[in-house]
Amino acid sequence: MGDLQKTLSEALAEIESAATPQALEQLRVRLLGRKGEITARLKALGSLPPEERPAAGKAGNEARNAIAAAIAARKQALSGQRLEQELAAGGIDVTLPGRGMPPGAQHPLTRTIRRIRDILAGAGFSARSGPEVEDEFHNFTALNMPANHPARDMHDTFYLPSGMLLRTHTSPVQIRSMLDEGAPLKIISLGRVFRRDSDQTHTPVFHQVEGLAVDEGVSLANLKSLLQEFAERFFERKVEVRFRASYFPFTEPSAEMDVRWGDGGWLEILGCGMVHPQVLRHGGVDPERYTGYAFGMGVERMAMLRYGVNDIRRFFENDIRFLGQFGP
Amino acid sequence: MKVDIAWLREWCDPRVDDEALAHTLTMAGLEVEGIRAGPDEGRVLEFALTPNRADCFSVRGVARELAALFSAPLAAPDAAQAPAATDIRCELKLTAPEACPRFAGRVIEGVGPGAETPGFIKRRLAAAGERPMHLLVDVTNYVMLEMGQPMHAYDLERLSGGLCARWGRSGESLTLLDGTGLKLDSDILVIADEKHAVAAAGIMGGLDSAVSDGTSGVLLESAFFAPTAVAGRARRLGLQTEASLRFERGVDPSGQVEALERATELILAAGGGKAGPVIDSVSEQHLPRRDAIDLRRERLALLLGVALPDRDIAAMLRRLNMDVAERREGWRVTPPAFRFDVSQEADLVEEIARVHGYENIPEIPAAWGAHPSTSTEQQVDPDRARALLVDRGYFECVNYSFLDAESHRPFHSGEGELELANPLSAELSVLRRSLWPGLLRNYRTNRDRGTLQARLFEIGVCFSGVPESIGEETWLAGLLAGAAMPEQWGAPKRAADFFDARGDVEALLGLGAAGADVDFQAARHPALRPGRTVRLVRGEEKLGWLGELHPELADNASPAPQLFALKLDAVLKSRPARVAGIPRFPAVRRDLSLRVPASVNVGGLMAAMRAQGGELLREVLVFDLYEDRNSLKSDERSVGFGLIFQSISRTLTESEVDRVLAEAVSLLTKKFGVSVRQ
Repeated sequence: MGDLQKTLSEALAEIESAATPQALEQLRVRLLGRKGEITARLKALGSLPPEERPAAGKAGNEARNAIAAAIAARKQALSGQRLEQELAAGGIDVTLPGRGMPPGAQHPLTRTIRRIRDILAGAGFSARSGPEVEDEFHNFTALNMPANHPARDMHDTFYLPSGMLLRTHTSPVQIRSMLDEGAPLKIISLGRVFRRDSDQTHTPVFHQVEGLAVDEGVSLANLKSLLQEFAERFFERKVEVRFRASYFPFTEPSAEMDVRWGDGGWLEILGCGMVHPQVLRHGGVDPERYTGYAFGMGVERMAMLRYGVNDIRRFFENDIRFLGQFGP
Repeated sequence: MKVDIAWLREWCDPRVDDEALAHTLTMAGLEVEGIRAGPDEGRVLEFALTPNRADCFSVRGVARELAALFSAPLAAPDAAQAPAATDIRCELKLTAPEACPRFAGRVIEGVGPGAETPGFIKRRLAAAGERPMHLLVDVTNYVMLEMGQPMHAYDLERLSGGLCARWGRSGESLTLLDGTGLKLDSDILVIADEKHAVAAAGIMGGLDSAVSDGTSGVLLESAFFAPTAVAGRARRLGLQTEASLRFERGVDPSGQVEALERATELILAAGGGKAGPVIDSVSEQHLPRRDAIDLRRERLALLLGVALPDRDIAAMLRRLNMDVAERREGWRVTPPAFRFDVSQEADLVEEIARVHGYENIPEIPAAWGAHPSTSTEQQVDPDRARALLVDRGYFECVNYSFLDAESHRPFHSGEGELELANPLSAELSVLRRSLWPGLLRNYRTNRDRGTLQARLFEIGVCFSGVPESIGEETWLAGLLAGAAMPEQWGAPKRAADFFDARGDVEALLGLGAAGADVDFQAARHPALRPGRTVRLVRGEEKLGWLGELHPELADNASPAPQLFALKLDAVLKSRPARVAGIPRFPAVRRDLSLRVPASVNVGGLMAAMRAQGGELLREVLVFDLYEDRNSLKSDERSVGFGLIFQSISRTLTESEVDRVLAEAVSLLTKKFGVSVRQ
């Protein structure tokens, strides 16, 4: 029996060190083949005394199974190694840069408009647009700015020879929407506006987003609630805001909303107020039945604060090295 | 407006520090832009007044606000009434009472020549940014700053008889104090003596009647000019003055005599002299009236979103110098004469809101219901087109809507310019009919700054039509220039060409529902290179352009940039898909290599194959295009087509496919003169 154990352990050691499938096959034939060593031992069982046969047979079968299992395991290991080697030989330099076309970038102004629009869409406001060439009624008169109104001092307006003008704010869209759709109404008007002004902080073309809510029971308290939340969503952090009395011809009461900024000072970010009853009337809405609030902000200003842009003219140069910083 | 704080505190002192005082005024709508150092260690408040608060355009006006906001006492004006010490008078006539319903004045004789302006007046004028000049002028300015009533001092000896306020006459002229020569007309209100105009009313006095060091007899004018009679004139004439600023917003129509008394007091004290009687010509019917306004309790609570106690509301209104009578539904309120801005209920709501304080109004979410989104499948969101181009390497640009006529001209076919009446400059004087000039400018800017590869686009309104009737349409335009791909290994270097642009255009067209129906028709466009220009057409509808910039406009850029422009709304028109079955039977592909005469367009061949192949021909693709001068005649191209056949109802037999293919080849041979390459 000791002999069998010795044969087995030597065989297992040889299998483990077989380097190729061919060597392994030779071992199998030598050990388990028809004339193999283990096969021969099993065949020789008949020559043993009957009382020794069961034990010897068991030991012989176990040795044969162990060797067969070891050969199978070694065979799999060898083929795995070979595949590995073959694949490794076909490897590539994975450190080379990738190919293709990198994306460009959306303009920070349209990106900002989209963000404002999406935040307000969640509050039930849907977007409207209107003509950039406007008439004096929709741009001024309907908004309580009759000829010679001092507020026209604030608006240096581009006129066309026909007497039409380039809208100075997106508020005319509110008048048009009220006339077209009536109350209740929750809309934002967005787009480009024009003022005769050009310096480091003003461009003759800029963008506005204005909101208008007209419904029964709309109050200043509702307006404050919405805008406080809007500011936090837009800047994505807790912001301290304050509402300060102000004047716009089309709202009464009117306020400016300031936010507390980095150095502790207050920065004005938007104007707002309750829609003036006369403006509701110009929009065909009964101010006794409905009240409304309105607010408006400059997109460039919001984008400058959000992204740390310090010169408004950057937005209109369209330098790819600037645009590329905003990502797709 | 700049106000010396010490002066303000003489009128009303709320007993808080300067910063708290400024904060309270700011929050209530009188924005203090800053507290600056003034002369002699004084401090000065700098206000940015809104145009509605004309009543605050003075120390007294701001003091009235302080009194209301802090419930602090307001000093009564202490101008003693100077009794007439001489009976010299001057007639003041209301020739245009609708424009000047009140004209007050008085003569002061024997003012000491060369009398010095008192130090406190000089200091306070300097704090307000005014330059002290002459006692009589300084006093009128001082009273204006203090009481809000602009005044004017005439040299009595230089006037011919009495004065009247009347409209100007065409042909009349007037030289103003600052030397400006003014051509008058019937839209300009003037003060005139018996001979000629001596002042542009409410704007500036005339040079000829101005006081000087030698003046001893003076006529003081303290008038009320209707805002509508003054507004806009100063601006139009380029002569905005402290007086015109106040008159066009509205001064207190009851404050003229008070101001006159105050000025008299200061002049007599500093320069001596004898005052004549006060003349006060008034047309009561033309003076602005402050009508009573009903303020409803419920309306106030509704608009603010909070109900305030009745007694607080009445008290706030009274502190604002309003006359308040209790009514069952609220209050009947009569504002003081100086509150031009308060004429209806909404104005009173604002007064309550700002005196109560916006910070004390609660924040209450609106009670309206949830609104389902209005998103639609009838129109693709333009943001989708943006994303598509950005993902294909484009940078979005935003350009002005106007530009110079010179760069604009090549981009429209003589349709004429839509000019602004009052452009900022010639560079920004005509409305854009195309987005291309802007993108080209952006391309050149980037190129000059060293960025050679440019894929740019803009979405914006372009204008059309004629000056009398201007149309607007939103376009999407793109520009490709430089390399087709960023420099990289494993990809051949080549310049972006027409077909790169066309691929992007086809992708954009694919966003809408009818993109596949768009024809790319060879066409001509003044800005595009002939032979490399197509017009995009769907049925009768013209959707846009694609082509290479005309070499004459490309300032030697080689190759020239590729341009495209699409009418955005039409391209993005969409509809929900109607799903058809997925073909279950196998597709069969046949490749066809054709020799094609150079005059034949590949697009035409593809259309003919599609028409011939009918329902069974699912797809035609071009897999190869070959021009080899050795193996082909120089006026021929070799084109490899892949034809994919498939039926939705059965498996096609080889012979069936071969028959269709043979028919197609025979058609192409006859119609286009192509031949099959072996």
